[in-house]
Amino acid sequence: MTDEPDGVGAIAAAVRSGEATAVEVARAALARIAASNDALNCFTAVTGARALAEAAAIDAALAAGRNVGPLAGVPYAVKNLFAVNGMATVAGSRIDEDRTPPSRDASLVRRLRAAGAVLTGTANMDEYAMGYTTENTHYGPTRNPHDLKRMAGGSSGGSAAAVAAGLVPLALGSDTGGSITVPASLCGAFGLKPTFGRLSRAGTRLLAGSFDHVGPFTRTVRDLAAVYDALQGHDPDDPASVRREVEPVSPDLGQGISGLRIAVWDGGSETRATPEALAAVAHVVAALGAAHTVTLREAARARAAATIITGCEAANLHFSDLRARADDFDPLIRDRLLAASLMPAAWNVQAHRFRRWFRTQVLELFRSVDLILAPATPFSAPLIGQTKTVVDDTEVLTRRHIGAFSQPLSFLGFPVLAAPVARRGRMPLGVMIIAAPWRESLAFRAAAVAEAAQVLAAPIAQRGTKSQPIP
Amino acid sequence: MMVDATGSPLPGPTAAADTQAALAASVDQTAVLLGIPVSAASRAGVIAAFTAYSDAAALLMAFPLPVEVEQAAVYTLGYAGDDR
Repeated sequence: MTDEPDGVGAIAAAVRSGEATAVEVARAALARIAASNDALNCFTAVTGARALAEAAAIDAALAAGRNVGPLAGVPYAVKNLFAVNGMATVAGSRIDEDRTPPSRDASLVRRLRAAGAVLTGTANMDEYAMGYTTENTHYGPTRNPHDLKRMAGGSSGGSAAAVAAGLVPLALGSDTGGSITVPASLCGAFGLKPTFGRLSRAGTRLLAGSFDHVGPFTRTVRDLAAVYDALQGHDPDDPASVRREVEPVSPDLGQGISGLRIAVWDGGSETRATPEALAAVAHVVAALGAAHTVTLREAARARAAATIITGCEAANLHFSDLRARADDFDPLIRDRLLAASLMPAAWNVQAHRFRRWFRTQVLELFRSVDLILAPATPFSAPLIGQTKTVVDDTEVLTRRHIGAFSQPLSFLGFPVLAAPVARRGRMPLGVMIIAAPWRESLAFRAAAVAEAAQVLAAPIAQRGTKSQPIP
Repeated sequence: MMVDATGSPLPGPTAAADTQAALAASVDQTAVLLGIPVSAASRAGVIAAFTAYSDAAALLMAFPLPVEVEQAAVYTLGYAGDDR
């Protein structure tokens, strides 16, 4: 191997053509992880032996003339709530270290393996995915690869940071209220939260089954499309998985946006963002020619409903541990989980009914537009441990306000492509490209246009070069 | 008199203290009902978190949903032999 191929598509092409072997690619990824993980804390476990065995199997299959799949030799990481055969699925906890390890991989890990990808390890997260920062007390915070003093975002922070730092070109995360969108924005990676029910969650540790999604991070739109296409397909092992034909988006990437009606989300007073977050969106708006403005009414109430349902479902999943060993939870989530276990049923029922009402309102919006653009986060990465942030002259709670824009969309289950806006020399910020249910392809087409115009970009993070004043 | 964004009166200091006391009592009593021990070290944090949930719920419960709006949660029947 001469020059190391970079990115999902380039690696798969190099491995298939014989320009590089899968084992060489895996060794290079493992070396990058070994060199950087002490500083970044993206990985909580590295699966070196498995990676080399999977890579050797790819090389052997190629030598035998067999089909090795579209992601041949692509190294990847998974958030540590995905089941990996023989490893405890810790989901950011110490409690689950004691549980019997699964005897098979999560469904999407099996699909990636079948597509030729190579698992290099499991990634850090907020305990049980109940946070937006990956400031995990047990495993330590994942650090933003652009500035080690700052948060990676969460809860899929280890996955997003590993991709943004160039340790691996692909990682999987999960999203209940913005846990793919938020770290994609703060770390500077592309992330896809697909339509609820599109990608299988079988074999993942749930936070709140009503909203849990899974999806990929990459550094280009084309790579994101290739991975998403490989992951699609109904899975009877996930009760939320929809029986729907695979709808590949890669063939549509070059179709452009002619005829698409693109609008900007006017959050009004319910959602506050910093001027730099609004400017980042305006940059994409100008590139895509977004001519409309839509108001997502009742976004704040949607967040309230999402918070209540998430709390109720999460507390129920952890009820026996809350009774028996509450002190073993991460202090950052323990009191919230305990409080959530005490909520009256009337709140939860009202929240579910509100979700139905809200869905109807937003579906109505999509009768007149095809895509909606909005900030992915209201600000760029705060300092690790920062509890308050000033936004629009108002002091807000940092950890809660990070999800101001993403949570209503995850609550709805609509597809969101989180895309990093090109901001040379500054901390990353992302834009959400929101489509109607099952119309991921439109979001991909718009992202491809903006990426080609160099308005979106995810260059490998140059560590520690983007320190800037706290917003 | 202080009012909120809709013009409704906000509770005064005494009423707010009463509300806080009621929320704390609710936490203590429901924890007993469910058999969830809340340690002395956690109690203040749990009450604060429960208060935040209560604030979210107040916003939600004030919304006039038509009775025709069903829950979003979907229950579907499978087939005999399909345990999913």
